[in-house]
Amino acid sequence: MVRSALSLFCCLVSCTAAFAQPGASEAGIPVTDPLVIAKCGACHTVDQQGNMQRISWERTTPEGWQEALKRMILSDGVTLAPPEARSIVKYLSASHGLAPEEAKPIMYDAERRIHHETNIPNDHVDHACARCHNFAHALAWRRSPDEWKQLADMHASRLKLSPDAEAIAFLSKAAPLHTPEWDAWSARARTTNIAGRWLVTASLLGHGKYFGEMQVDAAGDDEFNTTVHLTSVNDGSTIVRSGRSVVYGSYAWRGRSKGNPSGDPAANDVASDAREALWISPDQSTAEGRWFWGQYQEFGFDVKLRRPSSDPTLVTLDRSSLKTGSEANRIRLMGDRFPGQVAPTDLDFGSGVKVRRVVSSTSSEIVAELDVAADATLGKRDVAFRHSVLPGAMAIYDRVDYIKIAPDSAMAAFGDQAHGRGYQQFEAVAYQRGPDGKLHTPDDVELGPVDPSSVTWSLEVFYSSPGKSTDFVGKISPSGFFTPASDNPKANFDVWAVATLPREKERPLVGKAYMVVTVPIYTLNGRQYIRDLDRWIDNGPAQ
Amino acid sequence: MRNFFLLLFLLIPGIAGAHHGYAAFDTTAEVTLKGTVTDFHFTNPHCVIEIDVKDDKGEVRNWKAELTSANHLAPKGWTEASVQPGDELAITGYRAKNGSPSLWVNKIRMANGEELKVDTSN
Repeated sequence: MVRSALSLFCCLVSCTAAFAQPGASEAGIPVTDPLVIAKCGACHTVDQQGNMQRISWERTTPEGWQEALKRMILSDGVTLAPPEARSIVKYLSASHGLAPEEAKPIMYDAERRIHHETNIPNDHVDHACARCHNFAHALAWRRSPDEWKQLADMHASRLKLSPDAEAIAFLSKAAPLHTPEWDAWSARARTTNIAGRWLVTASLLGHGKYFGEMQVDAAGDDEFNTTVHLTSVNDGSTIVRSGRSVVYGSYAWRGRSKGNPSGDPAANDVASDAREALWISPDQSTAEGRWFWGQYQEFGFDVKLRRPSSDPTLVTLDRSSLKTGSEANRIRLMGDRFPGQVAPTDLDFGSGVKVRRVVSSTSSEIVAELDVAADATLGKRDVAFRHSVLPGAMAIYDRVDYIKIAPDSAMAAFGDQAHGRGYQQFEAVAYQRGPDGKLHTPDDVELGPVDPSSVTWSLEVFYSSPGKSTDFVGKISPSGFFTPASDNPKANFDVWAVATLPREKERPLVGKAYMVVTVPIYTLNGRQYIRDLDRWIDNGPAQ
Repeated sequence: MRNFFLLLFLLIPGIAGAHHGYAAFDTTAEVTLKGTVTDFHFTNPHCVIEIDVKDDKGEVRNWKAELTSANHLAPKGWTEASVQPGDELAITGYRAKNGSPSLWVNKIRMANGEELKVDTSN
C-alpha cells in the first residue's frame, strides 16, 4: 500500500514536471520512434513538431538513458519488457545521444575508472554536482537551460538540495542541448559497420602489454559476437576471450566477454568475466576503451583496436626506453603483415639510434639490435617500419630522475559476507625530468614501467609508528599487488604504497601512492552507505 | 524501497567520505614548521608535502603536511610541480593528536615570502 502510494506520488510529480516544461525557448529534438511515443507519451506528451516533453530537450549516453529508464520503471510505474527497454535505450542513445567528440572526454565514467576530475570550474558546480556524483555524470547530459533548471528543481524536491543559479548557468553554457558537434554528428553518423578483423593492443597493470587480433561478427540490430586472441609481450602467455557487444549511436561499444577458464581463482585472473566500454572513432577505423572486472571494477585492460591495413603495420614494441651510449639493445617489434625479408633500413628509430642488425623476423614479429649514441637526443621519438609509424613509442634517456606509482591515488576495500574485497595493483614507472630540469612538469619524459624484480614494495599506514606491522590493513606482494586483510577491522585507513628502487652509489628512488582502504559498508545517523567505485551510495535506512 | 534510494543517487560526499577528517588533528592550536621539502604528492583524497624540519636539538625529522585533494587544488592553479624537493617552506597548521609528525595545512609561505593559496576544506 505504501509502495503503491509512493509510486503514484512519484508518477504525479514526474507527470507534473513533464507537463510543466514549456520547452518553447529552444527547438527540441523530435522523437520518431513509435515505441518511445507509446510507452512514454502518457506523461511526456508530443507536440505538433514531434517533440516529447522533457525528452526532446535532453541528450545523453546509453548509461544516462538506461538510468533514466530505470528510474521511470522503479519510481514512476512505467512497465516495460526487457526487449522494449533495450530498444528504447538504443533508439534514444542514437537520436538523443552525444556526439563522439562530446562523449570521449567523459569515457572514464563508462569505463569505471577512478579519475582525477580537475575540470570542476568553481565551488558552485562542485557543491551542486560533484559532491555526490562524479562530474562526468553531470557532463554526460546535454540539456536546454529550461531542462537544467528542471533538473535542479527535481533535486530540490526529491533530495532537498537548493538549486544553485550559478551552477545552472554554467551547465547551460557548458552542456547545451544544441552544439556544433551534435549537428555535425547528426549528419555524419552512419550505419555501424565493425564486423571483421581488428588489430588489438592492450595493457594491464602489473602484467604489461598484450597484442593480438579480434574477430567481430554481426549478430543483428547493432549487436556483435567477438573473439579476441591476445599474447603477452612480457612472457608470451596467451588469452582467448569471447563476448557479445552492442554499439549504441554508431560509436558507443558496450559489451561483455570472458576468457577460457584458467582454473586460477585469483581475483585478478585475466580470464575473468569482464564488461567492455569502448569509444569507436567516427570513421570506425579505431576504437579504445577498457575491459574491466572486480568488486569495484579495479581490474581492467586498457584496450586499443585498429583496422588492419593491406600494408605492413607496426603495432607495439616490447621496450619503452633505451639509454644513451648503450649497445646491442635487443628489441622486439610486434605487428601485422611484416614481409618475409626485413632489412635494418626498413626500421627507423630516429637520429642517434642505429639498427645494428635484424636478428629475426616473422609476419608478426621482428627482433632487432640497436645501438644508441652517447649524444642521442633525449626524449620521446617515433618508431617506423617503412610507412607504418608508432608516434612517441620510444624514449631515449641518460638517467632515471624519479619514479611514480600508477595509480598515484587508489582505493581498496575490506570485504564482508555480502561484498568481496577490493584489490589494487600498483606499478612503478620511471621518468626523466626533461629539459626544464624540474620534476613533475609537462616536459618530463615517461620511460615506461620499472622492471618489477628491481623494485621493493612496502606499506606505511598514516599516523602509525615506523616499524609497526601493517598486516591488519593488508599485504602488498613483490609485484605490487595489494590484498586487503581478510578480517574487516571496521575502519578506514589511509596508506602509502611505497616502491623503492635501489641505485648504485646513489640514494634509492622512492615513489608513493596514496591508497584509502575502506570498509565496504557503514551506517551513519540511521542510514546505510555502500561503496561504489570511489563514492558512497545511500542505501536507505539501516536494517 | 532500497532500489528507490539507490537510484536516486542520494550520495554523501565522495572520496572525502572514505577517509579521515579533521578528527586526527588538534584544531585548537596552530603550529608553524620551517624546513626543506623532500617530496610532494599531488594526490587524492589529500595532497601531501613531505618536509624535513630541524627541531630544537638540531635533529631533522620528516613531517607529512596534508592538504585538501588534488581535485580541489587544481582549479586554484596547483599542479604536481607547485612544490619541488629542495623548496624552503614555512607551513602553518594543526598537529596530529597522536604526536606523529603530521600536520593539517592552513597556510604555506615560500622562501620568497609568497603565500601559496590553499583550500583548508577537508
